[in-house]
Amino acid sequence: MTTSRYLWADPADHSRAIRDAGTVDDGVVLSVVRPHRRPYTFHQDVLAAIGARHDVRGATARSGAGRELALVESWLAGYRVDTVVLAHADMIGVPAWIGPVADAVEAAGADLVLVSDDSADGPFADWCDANGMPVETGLDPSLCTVRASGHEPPAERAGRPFPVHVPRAAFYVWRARARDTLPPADFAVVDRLYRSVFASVVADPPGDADTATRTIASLLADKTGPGECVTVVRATQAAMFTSGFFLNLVTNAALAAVRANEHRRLDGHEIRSLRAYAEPWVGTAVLLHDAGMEYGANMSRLRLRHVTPDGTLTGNRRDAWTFHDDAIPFLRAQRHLRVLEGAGPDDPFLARSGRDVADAVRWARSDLNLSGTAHASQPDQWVKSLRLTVTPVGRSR
Amino acid sequence: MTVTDRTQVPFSAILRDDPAVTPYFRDAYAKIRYATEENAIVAIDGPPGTGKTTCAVYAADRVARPAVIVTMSDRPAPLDVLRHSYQAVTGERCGRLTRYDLGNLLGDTLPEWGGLLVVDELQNAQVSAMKELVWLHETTRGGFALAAVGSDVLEAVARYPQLESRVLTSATFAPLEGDDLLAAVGRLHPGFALADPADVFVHDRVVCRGLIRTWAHTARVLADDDPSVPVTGPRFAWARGVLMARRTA
Repeated sequence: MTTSRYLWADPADHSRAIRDAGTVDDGVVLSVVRPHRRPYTFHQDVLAAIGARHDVRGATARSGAGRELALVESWLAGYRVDTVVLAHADMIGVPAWIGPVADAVEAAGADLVLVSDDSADGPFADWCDANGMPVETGLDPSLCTVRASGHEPPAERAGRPFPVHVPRAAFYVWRARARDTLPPADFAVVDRLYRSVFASVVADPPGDADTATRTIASLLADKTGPGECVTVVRATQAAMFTSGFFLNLVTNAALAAVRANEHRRLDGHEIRSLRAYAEPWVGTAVLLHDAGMEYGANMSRLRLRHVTPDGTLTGNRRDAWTFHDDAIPFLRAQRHLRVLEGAGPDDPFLARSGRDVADAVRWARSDLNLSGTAHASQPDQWVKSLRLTVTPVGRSR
Repeated sequence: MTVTDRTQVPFSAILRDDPAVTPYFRDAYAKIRYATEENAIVAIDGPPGTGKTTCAVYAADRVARPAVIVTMSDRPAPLDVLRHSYQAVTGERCGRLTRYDLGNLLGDTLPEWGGLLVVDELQNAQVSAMKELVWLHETTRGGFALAAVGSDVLEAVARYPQLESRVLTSATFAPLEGDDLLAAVGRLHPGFALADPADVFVHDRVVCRGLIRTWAHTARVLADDDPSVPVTGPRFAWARGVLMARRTA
């Protein structure tokens, strides 16, 4: 049983309730109503309170009030939000705009609380009273908005002491050039990695291209910066040269692979950042891709009946795909939206083309600076573009 | 210097030397600093020429945060408060951005910026501008400090009770009198400090009326006088002639 009510609050309590409000992860959505004359801003602001951003691809498209309200309902259902608070509700341009939002909130099983410190009577209060939203006074709105958050704050990215820019000279002069051009502190960091790679390769030099490819791939597996990548490549070349081999490869290909791919799955904070896209299918597509699904073999075959209302996959060993806890609300929201769109159990869960899904993955990487995983079936595909050759020194190539 | 955008600082508020510190100035300065530390809203009221904007610019230059000054024109357009704030904070012209876009961009920018936004002559703004400011302050969860400056600004914010009730503290400037006047004008021109107080009070009664801005004009007119020599009655009279002639003209 959901409720809608209008709280007339003390201004200080009202501001505090906004300042200390929880997030959608805590089951509460708080939107500060802005003074505006268009209803779409009201809907967009509720979506923004859930996490949607205005500066990602697709955010400026106006999909119509019906779609906006369906998105609101789907996200609220996906996150199992229990309370939606509209602060400064008296700022709304037309009180009747609240009606459809209240319906969407109710359909998602959440309570709607309008808060204002304007006055406990007047046209807005009269409208609320006439539309089944009793006016309550003297209640601290913080009781509705403040939650004991179960989410840890995003971890600070570890400082990367490794210089981003290092010389691009050939391997036989690279270390000398690095010593000449880098500040001593930076060179010390670079040289530490250089020596470590050099020592490991000299200890067991790869004698052919395949082995050298595997060696380079393993050395670069945990590297995320271009400076580290170039250092590893040059140190490997120098070490192989002293062992009697000339290693030739396309350094730019290694750099591109390192920049694009951290070879790890998304963490909770990165997954939550996917709420930036108001359309749940974008985040869902990224998360299915992150889990290792391919479009042709897995995603396009996923039907609505394969996803439970709880957001888990069922049938035909689909439960083998693992998802982070923070990914589950995306699956629930996407499922809820598909049901609202009229999809049946045998309809696709992700009614998008392979190109759309590929676009979504690319957008998320560039808009949100997310890392990605290597292609599921060919994790070492990127190393083919290295065009690596190994030639014993003294023989012609 | 922390004011990152000086294009909207009024000419009269640009200081060449240290300001004339009056009790009103001291009170307002302390309150602006306090409100800035609290990311709160402060109102600075007082008649024209009493030093409100000078104090706000001086304080904005000395808080350990970025700060910008936004000045409302006599009849500001509905979006001016958003446009000017966006331009001052980001340094970019807002071009054809809509109200919705400007609100979104400022909503993202202001908490990251986390500085002091001084809105001068806020009394000229419509209630809609005050609504935008309250919305920005609330939706950013108090991510920046706001100083509302202007003549009768306290009366102006009362037109929008949600802003009035969110003003954490306020300071009111007034025309200077007695010893406060003598101390303040003595900082503007050393010759004023050495002058006969009776001459100072006569000049104040006739032309300056306790307004620090008019006293600053007097100091400018007498800038070529020897600072080690007291300004005499006839010199004050000559300065009055210049100032009154300017007014008559």
